[in-house]
Amino acid sequence: MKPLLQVNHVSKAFESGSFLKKTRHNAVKDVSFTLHKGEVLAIVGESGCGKSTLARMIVNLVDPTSGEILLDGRAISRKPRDRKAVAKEIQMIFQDPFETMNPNHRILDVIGRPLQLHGEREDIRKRVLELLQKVGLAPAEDYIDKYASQLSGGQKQRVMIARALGINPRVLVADEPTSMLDVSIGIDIMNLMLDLKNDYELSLIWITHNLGSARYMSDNILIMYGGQVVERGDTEQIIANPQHAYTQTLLDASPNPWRRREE
Amino acid sequence: MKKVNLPLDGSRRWNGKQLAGGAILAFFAAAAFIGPLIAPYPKNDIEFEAWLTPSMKHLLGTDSYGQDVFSQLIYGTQTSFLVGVIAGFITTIIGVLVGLTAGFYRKWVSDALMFIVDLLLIIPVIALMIILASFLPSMGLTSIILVIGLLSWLYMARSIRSQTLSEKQRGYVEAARVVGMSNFEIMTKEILPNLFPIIAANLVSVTTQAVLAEAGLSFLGIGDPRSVSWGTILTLAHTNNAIMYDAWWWIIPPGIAIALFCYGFVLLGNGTLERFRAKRGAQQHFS
Amino acid sequence: MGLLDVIDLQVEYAAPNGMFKAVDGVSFSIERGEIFGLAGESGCGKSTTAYAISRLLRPPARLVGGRIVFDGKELTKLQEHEFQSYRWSRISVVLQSAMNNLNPVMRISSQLADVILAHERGITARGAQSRAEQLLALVEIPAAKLSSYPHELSGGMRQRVVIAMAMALRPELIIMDEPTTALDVVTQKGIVNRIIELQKELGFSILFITHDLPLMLEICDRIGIMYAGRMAEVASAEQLLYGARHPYTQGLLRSFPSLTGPRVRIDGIPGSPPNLIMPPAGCRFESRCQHAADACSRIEPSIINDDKGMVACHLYGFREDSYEAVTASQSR
Repeated sequence: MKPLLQVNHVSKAFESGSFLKKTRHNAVKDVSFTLHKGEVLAIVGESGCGKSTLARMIVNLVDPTSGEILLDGRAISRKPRDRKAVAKEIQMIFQDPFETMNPNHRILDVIGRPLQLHGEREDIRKRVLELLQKVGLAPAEDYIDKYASQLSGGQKQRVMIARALGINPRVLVADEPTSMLDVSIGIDIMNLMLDLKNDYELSLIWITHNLGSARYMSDNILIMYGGQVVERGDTEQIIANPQHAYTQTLLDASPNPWRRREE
Repeated sequence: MKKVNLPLDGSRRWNGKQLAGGAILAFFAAAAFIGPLIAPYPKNDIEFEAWLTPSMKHLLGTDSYGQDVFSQLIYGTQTSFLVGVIAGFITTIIGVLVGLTAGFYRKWVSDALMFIVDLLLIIPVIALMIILASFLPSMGLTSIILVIGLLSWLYMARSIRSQTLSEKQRGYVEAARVVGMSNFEIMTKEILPNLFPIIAANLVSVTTQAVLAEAGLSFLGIGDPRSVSWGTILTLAHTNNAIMYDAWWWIIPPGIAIALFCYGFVLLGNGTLERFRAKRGAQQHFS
Repeated sequence: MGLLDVIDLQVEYAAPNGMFKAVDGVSFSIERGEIFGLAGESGCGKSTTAYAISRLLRPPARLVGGRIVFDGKELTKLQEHEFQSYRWSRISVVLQSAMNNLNPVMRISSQLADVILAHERGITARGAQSRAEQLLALVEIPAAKLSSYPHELSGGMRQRVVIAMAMALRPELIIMDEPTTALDVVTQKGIVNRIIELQKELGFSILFITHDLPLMLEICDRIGIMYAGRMAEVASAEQLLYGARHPYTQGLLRSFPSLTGPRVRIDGIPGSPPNLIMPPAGCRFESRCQHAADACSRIEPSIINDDKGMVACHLYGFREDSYEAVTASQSR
């Protein structure tokens, strides 16, 4: 099967400092992977490993220094006038729902504006109500006229999912969408995303620092360290039988209540 | 599950400060536009005896020229009101435009705009106003408004730029980019509404400054000698030694009018800010 | 009697839209040399409890009832200046954000020495300095970094400094509120391991607060689970792991995707916590509980203390009025 998304030898270097003393920081170094239709790929690593920068390159927020990202075999355009066309195909859910919802907009605007932008001509309000229902915010009429400050973190994250969903993308990149939420809320969000993935035949990139959530969500996994991919493969196999020393370290460090009892 | 209605739903439309400020401004607006119709005597009418104390015939007495102070005050309201509102409007448009653009775009656009602003900022505005006012062929009301409006947007642009810089860093801007919004849409639809508190705060100070600047310029004798404003009333009172004649009715009413008018703006501005914060305010976290 | 007994603690908050009790009748005790965990989700009152014990509550929060007994002495009755002799030297605190609150213009060893000088009588500046260096060595700060400034250290290193500071005066109880939450798992692991080693060596007690239940189960002796301002269950880590009794604890334990075992769909806990300004009459978990019966919404669950620990749920209640609830839920 032809892959939906191909990431080919992508690197990103950030430059900082004055022009006299420039320092280069290689956030992502030569990363390649493919994503098939309906696949869930987890990208796991600690803060600073480059996973968020990689996500931002995929969704067209950051331009790669080198390498290319192909959708359906065609390179994603980085031109400003093609921004909308790329957005139509690839959407993103961010880590912090408290920051990504504009405090000044009602839910109707948060979800409705992108719909209008992408040419929705139908009754916007009706569409927004449908989407709210879809992400489990029911009865939707209770939510549609609220502002961000009137919602809990989990509800905000659901709104952001509805917003991405409304555009009807093929690839959804989720950058630690549950890490700011309580666990019982987080698991609901994960379930929601798995359900929506099936309903909408989405391909999902699940970025996380938590191996447990990666195992719960993904088919395949990519372990990143220092901007590079250190291990990749089938999720279950890698967690059961890690090959790279760093993956082993990460597994050992993950809290495991059974460990002490076994000793 | 039982739903709890929080008093955040904007069910109350206006708060006390907004009402008080609005009432004050409405009063002055009425005086400005209906006033000339109900003023007891025509503009600049000098047919009365000079230095009359307040009476039923002349509510605020007459000045040294024999003009009815109450009538002059009403005509003056129109001038001050127009200056405040129009100059405030011009200032806001330029200030927001320059500040937002300079804050949103990086590198040379921002640098160039801020260079101009900084250059203009080191010029003493009052002095420039005086010079401009004395060189312009006719110093009518329009010129006064333009001079004030075109010279007072600098601080506004600066504060809007710095606020834009910080708003730009927030997550919702990135989220807007991801759904495919253009820079223009992000600036106008996403960032601009969040600048409202800072615009309102600036608008209040700019408008009051404009009213005060007009009064100041008139007081210095640079304004249009034919037009009547609160400033020109005070100027005449000053040059004709009203204080020595104990003619308080000539000095205190225009002073109070200026102060009250500005206070109305401040009240309305603060009240609007409070309502804005109450509705969209940050969620409280408890643990 | 334990080292610390918290009895019926009540803390009130003044929110913009009304007063509510962030902590409403919480009781637990910590033994000497024990690691006691306090877990729960945001808003459950776990941090507020920690703040109340360490006297860090500031308006709009106010202690309105209950007793806090430390080593036989009632802390709530002490004046502020009397409590000073407890702070640092007998009870110390490590907060999540503490690593960002170090003095940026002071070398870390000097900051530590300052704390020692301020609280310990008869110690010389030299003595304090060398004690500071020993302490930093204890939390495994490399010798070369002793005179660094905070900004020169990583987050993990800074949090180690804060922990060293908390241990500086050999307190009997250290309250740790999410001490490693902001850190990566590998860093967290290193710090937590060191804390446990030191605890075994020096014998102090720890009140460990986190939302990370797996971590807590791994390191704590006993754990209290809080929900909506109340204590839902207190039990040993083993007891919780093998047989948690409160439906909320069960739901919380389920919500952490595991690294082992079969990959099955997890159902979290539906719904959200109640509004504490108008708390429900009966059990606060009732609206989210799959065992909820009629009585649960009307009658507060009685608190059951037995050999398995403490649980507040009608499922285990023996009170007359909760009988109805038990039978109702069993007949389902």
